[in-house]
Amino acid sequence: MMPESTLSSGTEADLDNDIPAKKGHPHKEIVARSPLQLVWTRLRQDPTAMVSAAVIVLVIISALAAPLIASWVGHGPDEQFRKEGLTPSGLPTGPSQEFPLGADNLGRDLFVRLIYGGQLSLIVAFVATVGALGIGTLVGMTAGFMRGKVDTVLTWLMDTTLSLPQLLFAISLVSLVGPSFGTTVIVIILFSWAPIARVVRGQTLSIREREFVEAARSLGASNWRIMRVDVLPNLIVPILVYGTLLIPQAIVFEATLSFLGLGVLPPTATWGNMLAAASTGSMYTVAWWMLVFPSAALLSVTLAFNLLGDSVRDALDPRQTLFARKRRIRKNGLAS
Amino acid sequence: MLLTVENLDVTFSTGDGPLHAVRGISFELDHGQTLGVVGESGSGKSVSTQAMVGLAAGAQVTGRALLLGRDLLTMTPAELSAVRGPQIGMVFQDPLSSLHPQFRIGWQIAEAIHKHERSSAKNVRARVIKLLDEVGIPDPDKRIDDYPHQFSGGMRQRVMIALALALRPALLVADEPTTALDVTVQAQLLDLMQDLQQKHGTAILMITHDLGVVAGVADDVITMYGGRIVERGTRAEVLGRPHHPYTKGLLGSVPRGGSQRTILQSIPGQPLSLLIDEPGCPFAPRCAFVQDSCWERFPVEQLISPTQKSNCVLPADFAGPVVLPVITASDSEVKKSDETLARISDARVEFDGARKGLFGIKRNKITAVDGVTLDIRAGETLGIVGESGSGKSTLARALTGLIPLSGGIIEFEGENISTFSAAQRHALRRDVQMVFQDPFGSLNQQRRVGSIIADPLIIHKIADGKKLRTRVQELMELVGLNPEHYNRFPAEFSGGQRQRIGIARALALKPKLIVCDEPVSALDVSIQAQILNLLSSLQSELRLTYVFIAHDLAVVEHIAARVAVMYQGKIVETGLVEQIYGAPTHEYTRSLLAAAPHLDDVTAGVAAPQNTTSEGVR
Repeated sequence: MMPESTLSSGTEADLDNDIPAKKGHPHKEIVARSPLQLVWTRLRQDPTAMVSAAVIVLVIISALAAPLIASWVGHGPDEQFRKEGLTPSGLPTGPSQEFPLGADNLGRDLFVRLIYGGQLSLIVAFVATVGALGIGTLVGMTAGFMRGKVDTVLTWLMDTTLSLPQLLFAISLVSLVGPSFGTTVIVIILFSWAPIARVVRGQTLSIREREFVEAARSLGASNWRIMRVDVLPNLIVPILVYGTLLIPQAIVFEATLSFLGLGVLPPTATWGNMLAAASTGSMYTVAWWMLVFPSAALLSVTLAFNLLGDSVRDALDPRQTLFARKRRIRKNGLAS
Repeated sequence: MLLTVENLDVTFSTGDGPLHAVRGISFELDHGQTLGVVGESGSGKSVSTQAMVGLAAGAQVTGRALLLGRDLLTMTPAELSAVRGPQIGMVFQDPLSSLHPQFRIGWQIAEAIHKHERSSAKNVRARVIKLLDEVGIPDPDKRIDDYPHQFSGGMRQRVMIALALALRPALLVADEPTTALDVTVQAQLLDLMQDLQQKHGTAILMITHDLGVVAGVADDVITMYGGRIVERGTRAEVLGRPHHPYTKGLLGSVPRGGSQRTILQSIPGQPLSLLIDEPGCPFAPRCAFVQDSCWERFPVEQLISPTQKSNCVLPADFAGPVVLPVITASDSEVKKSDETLARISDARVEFDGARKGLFGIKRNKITAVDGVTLDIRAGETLGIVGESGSGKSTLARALTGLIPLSGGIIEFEGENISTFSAAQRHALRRDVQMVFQDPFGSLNQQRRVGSIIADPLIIHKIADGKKLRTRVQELMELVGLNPEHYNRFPAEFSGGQRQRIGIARALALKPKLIVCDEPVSALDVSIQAQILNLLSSLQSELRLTYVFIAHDLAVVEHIAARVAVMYQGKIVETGLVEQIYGAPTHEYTRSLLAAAPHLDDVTAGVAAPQNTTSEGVR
């Protein structure tokens, strides 16, 4: 029924490829760039994105190389140097050749602890973000795609989660099950999936009305297949953007929990419990470095992730920043 | 001379390098005249006028555009804004987005007057009422305080015209003013614009892709392609005896009255990319008469008649009417089959409307399809014509089983599809497929073309692995796509090519019935003709049955054998194309036919008697 022969005369002239080549004339071809290539080009032209990315890459490398750095400095993260790190009166020593960022109240190397703390922060943040994105996407997509009763129940669940007082709830939860790495991750996921689910649900609601979803239905695709093949790829942009913005949130959340003694327990170094150590007994009044360096690390990493998230969103969806770009064009002039 | 444009050149800088949208065009427009600028998307017709009035943001514009002796291009933004309104009025395509939804229409028109003239609020209000009356808004003294959403599309466009003409400008720039409107409304608006032009002596610069609109209103016509003017002359010359191969190609692409048994002369190839700065004729890659010199430089203007000029190297006697070849009887062996493939009896589709009552429990019912009865015979093309809101798309979706019926029966090969089990419905997809309107929206941008076309084969477990790829490439070849492009994304294809992808996907399951919902309405005319020809040849090759839904009467006349006219959810008239178009019995059909733009009137007026296209049934 479906012959493989060439088309009948009516459309032979319509074969629309490579007509100039037939005429034997060189004709430049515009090579369309893939969406990812375009995003990368835009990101590379954005200095904020590049600086933020550099900071993040630096932190990731140092986190990966933490044991190497520790052995190079010769100080373990939990090793106490009561002789070198503490003054005779028991106060920590400041930055020196031996301790580049000073020592803490137990005579531990702040520099090494900072790097190990960064490692932990990143692991917690990545695991929690991936978990929250997974749950949020699944719930949001199901709610938006199925509509009806499923949507009502799931939206109700999202609203309930969003209305819980985060910190109070976290404190009571941790005191029930006890603080640990796992608890920290679960608590962060618990409070991060709902906003993602909301965003994803909204996007799904509009995607499911698009013509290509109708086309998939007319082909007989199942709901699950449409969600997987047609809806999910179109959610990548909001998920990616939200994900980059969720990482710093998770880092701060982890630091908060650790600061309150509800996160990862000492002696394991985290930026949160390092800050807690600085504030116990107002240590920072005599040892400013205990407060300044962990705070600076926390600030620069969260700032870098937030700025990168903004840039990624701009690069993925240039329409939203059209005004900014137009302004730039006008300012720099086209002729240049 | 009211407007003199000299050597206008517009360039945008993009991430891919400079985009040379308009390449040195010159034209003139005198008081009270209408100049029609025709071209397909990417021809630079809209950009050139936007650049002229300073509305092309981020563009680098050179050349001169003298309006009453003053150069628009050297004006400061403040001077330009003083010109826009009192001297140039503008009407755009989409009347809904051109009007501010939060303000009353009267206020919006009054604001335009207040900006340029000192006048008391009472005087201005009286003037606005008079304006609204002039553009044919009933009860203007009441409607002046309504918001834009309270008007229909046509009425909104009337308000836009009132706004554009509020300060009696000498020049009205109308950029596709009727493209978004139904034919009957379009006809009214074009009449209105002509009336106002005669009354006030306004010059109109009419930018449109629709040759029918130009044929109806323009005094002079310019054809644009690839940022250049390729031909100009009076309406009768350009449409009746075109010289440039592009103008000829355009005219040969348009289905029109009596074109039912003709082969549309589609222009091969795709519109060019403006990112390439070719020194030669932009049309050369698609031109059948291309010569070596065409590639080196753009041909100089050649005088065809005292008023007609063409930028083409072909001899002047190349100018002549466009004659479409007629399919001889042997070619068009229309299989007269009385076998019924599908039957729609008394079908009704209702949607839930706005909530009403205290708790919103009761809802209004909106009846989109109201008791439709139709037979679809195997191997035929049944056209369904109607304006927006007539329920034709809803009927299409009910026919393919995408929307459940509220009443009535749809039978496919004698079986009632409403009572089908899930498995039966799944199997029905193999026999009934759909081609969608929007070549951009109906393909998932995030997926490669090969996987889009393979979708039905995977879903119905027909092929996998290497066989799948072979089958996909066969399908791509069948619809005239390069099979090696299966790994590309939809964004890398033009509109026409994307519609081919949609057709390939619909053909994958070897269906018996294909429902085409406005498959060509989003395409440029030359591409539209390619797709129509493709659909026809596929039909005879694969013995397909089409239900072809369109608002364009000429397109349906070209492709269909039988037509059903739909109005407010009902079929008002069904019959053979010759009957319906030749002797319509229902009043609505008659008004539709009368409103459709008649390209033939102009072309026939100049063309020699051998012009077969003018011997239409109309």
